[in-house]
Amino acid sequence: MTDATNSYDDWARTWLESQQQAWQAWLGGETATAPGTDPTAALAAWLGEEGAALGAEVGARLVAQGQQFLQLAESLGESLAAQAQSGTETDWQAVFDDTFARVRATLAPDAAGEAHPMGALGGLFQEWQKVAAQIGLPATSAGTAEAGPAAMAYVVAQQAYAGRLADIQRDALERLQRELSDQHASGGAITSLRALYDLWVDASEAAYAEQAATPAFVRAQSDLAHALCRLQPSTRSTLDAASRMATARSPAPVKDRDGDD
Amino acid sequence: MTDPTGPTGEPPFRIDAAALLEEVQLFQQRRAKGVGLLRDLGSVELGQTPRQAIHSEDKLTLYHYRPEQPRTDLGPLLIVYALVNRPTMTDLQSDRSLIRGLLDAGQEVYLVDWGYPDANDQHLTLDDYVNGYIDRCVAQVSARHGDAPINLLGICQGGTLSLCYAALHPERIARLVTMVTPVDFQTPDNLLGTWARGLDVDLLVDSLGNIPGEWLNWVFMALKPFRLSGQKYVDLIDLVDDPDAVRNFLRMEKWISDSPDQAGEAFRQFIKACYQENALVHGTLELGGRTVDLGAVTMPVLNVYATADHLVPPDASRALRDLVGSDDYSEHAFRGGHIGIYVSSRARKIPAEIVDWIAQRVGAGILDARTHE
Repeated sequence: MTDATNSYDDWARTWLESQQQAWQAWLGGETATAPGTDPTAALAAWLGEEGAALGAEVGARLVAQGQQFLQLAESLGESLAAQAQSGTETDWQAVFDDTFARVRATLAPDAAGEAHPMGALGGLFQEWQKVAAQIGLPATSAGTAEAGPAAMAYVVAQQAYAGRLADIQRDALERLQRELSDQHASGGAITSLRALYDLWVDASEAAYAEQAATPAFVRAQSDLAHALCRLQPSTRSTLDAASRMATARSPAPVKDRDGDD
Repeated sequence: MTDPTGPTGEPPFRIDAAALLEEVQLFQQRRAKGVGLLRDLGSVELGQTPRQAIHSEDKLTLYHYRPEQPRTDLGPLLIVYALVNRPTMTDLQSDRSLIRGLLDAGQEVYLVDWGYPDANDQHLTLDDYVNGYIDRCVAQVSARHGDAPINLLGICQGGTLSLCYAALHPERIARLVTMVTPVDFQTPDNLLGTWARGLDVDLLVDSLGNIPGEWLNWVFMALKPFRLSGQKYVDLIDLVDDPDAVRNFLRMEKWISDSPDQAGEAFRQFIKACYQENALVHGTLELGGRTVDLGAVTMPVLNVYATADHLVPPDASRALRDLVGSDDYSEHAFRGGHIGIYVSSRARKIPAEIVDWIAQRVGAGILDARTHE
């Protein structure tokens, strides 16, 4: 139930109107900076206590994945805006190349050389971290000596896996460029952002399928799982010492298995 | 400089600023509409076909579904679902329900609901599941139908367990149906199998006990991350004008998120024996001290597989053809994926086809089973 002064429709209308104005101004060359399209924070605040419901949870995913779609629009829009501001006739090859350069830039490692997967693979990586947290293991990104060798090994494994995902994303982008070039050469053209997005998904899944079956990727993914598990023994030992109940190691209570390794 | 136009003289992109603005605006509007609709739809329920619990032990419940117009010639059909995910997939909604379709065709149905394993179940073995739980459920169903052999339908991993059961107890099974069931776990196109072979499952199980459902969900999502965690939600935009379609989407999401933990020891054995050793194919799987020989599956077999199944590739299922001892082996190729075989509109004819297959073999299956007594 919503009250008339804070209804979802009111919120959505206000948000959309502001978006329309900001995009018109930017694409028309009136402003130099791209408008943000991410309503996540504002929407989360509005959703409030509804966030726990499945519908609200799926709605949050719709918002987040829709955001990935719109970031593609931003990259393309930045290229188009640059063209508009130059006052020249649209050079589609330049738009084409510039859009991909912008997207590729978002996939580059950071100053510390760490990979940060974006988009769907970034989501996959984040979901992995949620899984680790839900299992109750001390998933940490501290990587400090105090965290112990098992924790540091987990951080290293995480980074190696993230690096593999980032490699796949770069490969996917190149595949998309080749696919677009092939379509172009045969007379095809992309006529909507959605068509571009769908083509990108196809290219990304193809890149992923190829790399995900390689020994290197399998090793990185397995190493991540194994490193997470190796964080467990210290936690289990602490639990064993604190309780006298059965654990994963043995169904026998602690008192009956003194002397076990 | 590259020619910016193609053979037709047209550019590669026909998206100008105005068109981009219009598409972004429309997307934002529909995204907003979708969020509002999702918030307001309320809860969705699965598995609404009326049923009666007739037996339970530990976390397991055996359910009975009675058709309105039962065909008494068919015998009962026991469905054994996978341990992974929930059997509510067989009864997702009224117009997407394998169970309803079977009932509408006059088939009396029983379903094994494995429940939600907890720490007390972590030492359950595959022997416990096959020669324990499944055997007792078969006995329950058979006792209600004159102690005659019954029809068995196994789904995915449930099909693998059903094959094991049928091989070890052929006299109890009149006819066997397997749906999207892995038999050969090491076909080249099996990404899940490739990943499983890199796993130190002893480390997993010894560290975690039961394998968390959240972990398995993540693995399944990781098989096709762009489609399953990204594009699927973008495509939701296309449904926002149809609350029923969005409700159906939510039912799928509810099923996906309802993922039980896996009993640790059974998980260990399944991964090692099936994925890592391919023991079913090699005839080296042992349960309860007995070797599972698929050559002992001599009752009529219907093997239904999905042609676009990325979890159980077609060849992984079709391998059954050369392994079973039955001289009445049939295959049915469903044009779709691992889940579509239950929920797509094309899947609506599958229940009737299964019932027709059973009906054509009434009498013959019982005779075959009796030869192994």
